[in-house]
Amino acid sequence: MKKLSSRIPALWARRASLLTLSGTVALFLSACERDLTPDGPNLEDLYGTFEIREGLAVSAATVDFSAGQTVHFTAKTSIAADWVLEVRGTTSGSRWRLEGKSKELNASNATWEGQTSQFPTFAAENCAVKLWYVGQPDTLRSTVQVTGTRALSGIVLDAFDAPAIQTHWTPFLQTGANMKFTVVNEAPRAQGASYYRMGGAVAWDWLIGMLDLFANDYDATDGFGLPTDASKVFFNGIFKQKSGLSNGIVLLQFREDDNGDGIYQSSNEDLWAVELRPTANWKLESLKYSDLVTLINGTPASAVGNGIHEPHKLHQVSMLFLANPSSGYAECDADALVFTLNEPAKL
Amino acid sequence: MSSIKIGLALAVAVGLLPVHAQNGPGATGTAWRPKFSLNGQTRAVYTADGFRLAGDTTTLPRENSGHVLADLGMNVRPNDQTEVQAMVRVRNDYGGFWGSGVSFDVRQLTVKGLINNRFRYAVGDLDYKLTPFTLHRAAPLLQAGDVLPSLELFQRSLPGNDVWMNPDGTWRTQGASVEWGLRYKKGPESHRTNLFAMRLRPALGGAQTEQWASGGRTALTWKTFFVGANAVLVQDVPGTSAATLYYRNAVATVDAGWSVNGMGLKLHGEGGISRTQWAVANAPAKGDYFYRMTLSGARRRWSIGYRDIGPDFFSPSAQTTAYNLNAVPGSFSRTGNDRVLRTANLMDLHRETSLYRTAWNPTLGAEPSVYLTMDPFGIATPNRRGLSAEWNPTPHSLAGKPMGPWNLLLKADWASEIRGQGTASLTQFARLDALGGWSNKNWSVRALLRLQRTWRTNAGENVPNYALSQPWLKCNVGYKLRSDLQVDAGLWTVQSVGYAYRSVRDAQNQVVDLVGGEVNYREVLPVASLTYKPFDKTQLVAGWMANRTSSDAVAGPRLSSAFVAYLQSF
Repeated sequence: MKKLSSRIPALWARRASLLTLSGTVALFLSACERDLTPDGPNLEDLYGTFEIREGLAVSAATVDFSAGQTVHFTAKTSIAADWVLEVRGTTSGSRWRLEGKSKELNASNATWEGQTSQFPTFAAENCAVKLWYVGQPDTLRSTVQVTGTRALSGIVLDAFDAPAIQTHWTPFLQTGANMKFTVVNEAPRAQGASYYRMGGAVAWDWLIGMLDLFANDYDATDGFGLPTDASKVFFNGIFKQKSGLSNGIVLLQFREDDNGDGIYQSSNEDLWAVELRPTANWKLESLKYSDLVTLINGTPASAVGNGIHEPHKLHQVSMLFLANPSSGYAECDADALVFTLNEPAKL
Repeated sequence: MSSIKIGLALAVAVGLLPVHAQNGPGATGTAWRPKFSLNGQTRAVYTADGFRLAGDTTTLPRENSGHVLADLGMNVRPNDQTEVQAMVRVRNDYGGFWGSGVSFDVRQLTVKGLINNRFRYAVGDLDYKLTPFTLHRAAPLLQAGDVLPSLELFQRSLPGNDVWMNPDGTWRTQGASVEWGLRYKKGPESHRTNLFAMRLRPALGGAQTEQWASGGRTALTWKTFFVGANAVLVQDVPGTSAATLYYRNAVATVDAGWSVNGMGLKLHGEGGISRTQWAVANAPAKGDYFYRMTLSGARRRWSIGYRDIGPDFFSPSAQTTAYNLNAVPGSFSRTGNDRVLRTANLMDLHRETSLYRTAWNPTLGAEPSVYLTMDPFGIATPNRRGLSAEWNPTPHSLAGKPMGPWNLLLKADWASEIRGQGTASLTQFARLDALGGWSNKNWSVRALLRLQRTWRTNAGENVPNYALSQPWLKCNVGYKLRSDLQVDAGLWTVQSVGYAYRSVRDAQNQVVDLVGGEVNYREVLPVASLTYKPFDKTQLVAGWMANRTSSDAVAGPRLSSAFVAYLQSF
């Protein structure tokens, strides 16, 4: 009995070995075809003599971004070269800049959807287009007429345009000196005609003031209407700090109702946050929801709730304005607070 | 039906089984071994480093460091079938005291044993390897030939020891392995199988996707012939993070060997396939094959071989080099008035643990090409097809030891790309190694001359030709002052001169750019040492080494290091 029992696994093992060997040889023989197309960009495209084969051209003389139109630019060179394309609004001074390395500019790599790199956003205006190649003396020029500007799309929390501030924000202001929590329209603007200014000096606390926006107040039925996949949700906003100051901090907080009871409990539900320190120029900040962390006194910490980013459970958005109490007056501006799906906002 | 002799063989196949398992219970007969024993090593090292760079007024010219450490291993044998090895490292940096500068680390924990006297297992830390194309720790820069004993001792005793870099090419991982063997009366003499599963990356609560490797080898052996099948599967575990795309690499190979007894010839070959799927949307899965054949002569005094490694053959457990020269060295890490990160050099490679990898790299990445271009990722470097030959004309014993004062080994390699880089023209690689030595009672001289050329012509109008020359010279003269005292002086020079192209790859190994340019790189590394061996397994080494690099005729930093090291194992 013992002899028989030791034979069976031994025979099985030998057959299994032969079967494995045969299977591997069969797989090997079935995979004997290779793609021999050279890897990477063509060397002749990279290392030949630089020549401009086709000048800069615009696909349309006018473009209406408000109607969903786009415009693309074309040009060709003899080799792949580093290029910079810039569109400048001749009235607004806004700029859109695109950089790349290729032999050709076309619809796939040089399409303008009306977005901005340097605020303010474009107006309906004539735009100068400039294309140059890094290390080359030539600059190619053209123009395009914008007849309609790009509309703010996505889940817009507030653009601080008409009506000046959405009534569903819940503001809170500390008692301080020279407090400014208001909509202003003075230049330089970012998006639209006006934006929100937060300023003041509070000598006894970091918090100067804040705005809260509750999901129910935004939309009593659907809340913020965000999907479940946090990696596809982006929070966007344009921020600026008063020139000459650097003490202002914008703290964005996102509170989730993890257990679905309609309220947020700080002891056991998630609060995601990010601190921004705006610069003197308007800058678009786009934050992927899944990258948000829990902050305690500005330092990343363990999540309080279930630790899962759940944008569909977002209960409250808060924008806090902070500054070191000993640093004196602080001032920051915000505009175009908007959630976008799948990609950062194009403003 | 063939009859079966014995159910258990547990034949030791050097290089195929976990290193620690080879010394496991049952493998060495019935010799008495204590239930509890201590093993490990101690080392005390002090280095006084110097730095000079023309025009640099900010970097401090001296950096000294030193430490003493003990690896204390406890070997417990609760019964004849089980062995537990646990090791802690106690380290104290010179200048520290208890609570400051002292560290305690668990360095090893392995449980191994026999089940039912048939299956050998090991759980915990494993040192594992399979074949050079499936699971093998490649280190082509360190495997050019043992010439400079002081440098090699440093590499083995410091970074090599810290990252468990064993000379046989095993990788240190954590997981479990099991192996068993059988002997037969008829047909094949024996059969041997080993399987493993290793956790490569924990999920950390969903912060990253957990990754495991699994695989093994099964082989049948006849009197003069063997054939084996090997497989390694590396894959992300779905559900351990929010990711919806997963990395997966599978490599399967068959190897076989035939020994023609009457003629003293040995034929060995291995071939296989790989398939890689990336955790990135729209990244196409890649698959390819490879094969290598080697014919060697009697007593291994000559061999010729041919290899063909497909451009999309990816085997991270065989192509990940043991070191990462793109990492920043810890010594003088920022230099120059603009405080730029310093590039690692050959001296750093032999001293710094931070330059060594402890995990497989799923992507090829970029290896510095100033030292070699033919096989930067080891023998399994993809996109290579070529011939190799080796000849050792000096007499050797059957065990492979040189029988006279002279020893000479000549190696020649030629390879070509299989798929062009930015052009249909294929880059060619050639290398000639002459490794020689002479010794008598007191003197010993060893030298390696390596000539390497890389070339490609007519890739297109206005495209500069690839033309790179990379000669190496390593030499050492040793003199035995007494039977336990030896002095050595050596030199290593490396050059890379000509016009070269570098492939820039993304994380999916796709070449996204090709950067060409003139190269004029030189590196010189002199070393001198005095080695005292007062007892068995004990060495005291004192010496000096230096390194000077220059690139494009601009002098780089000059590094020097005076060192003293006391090394002991028990």
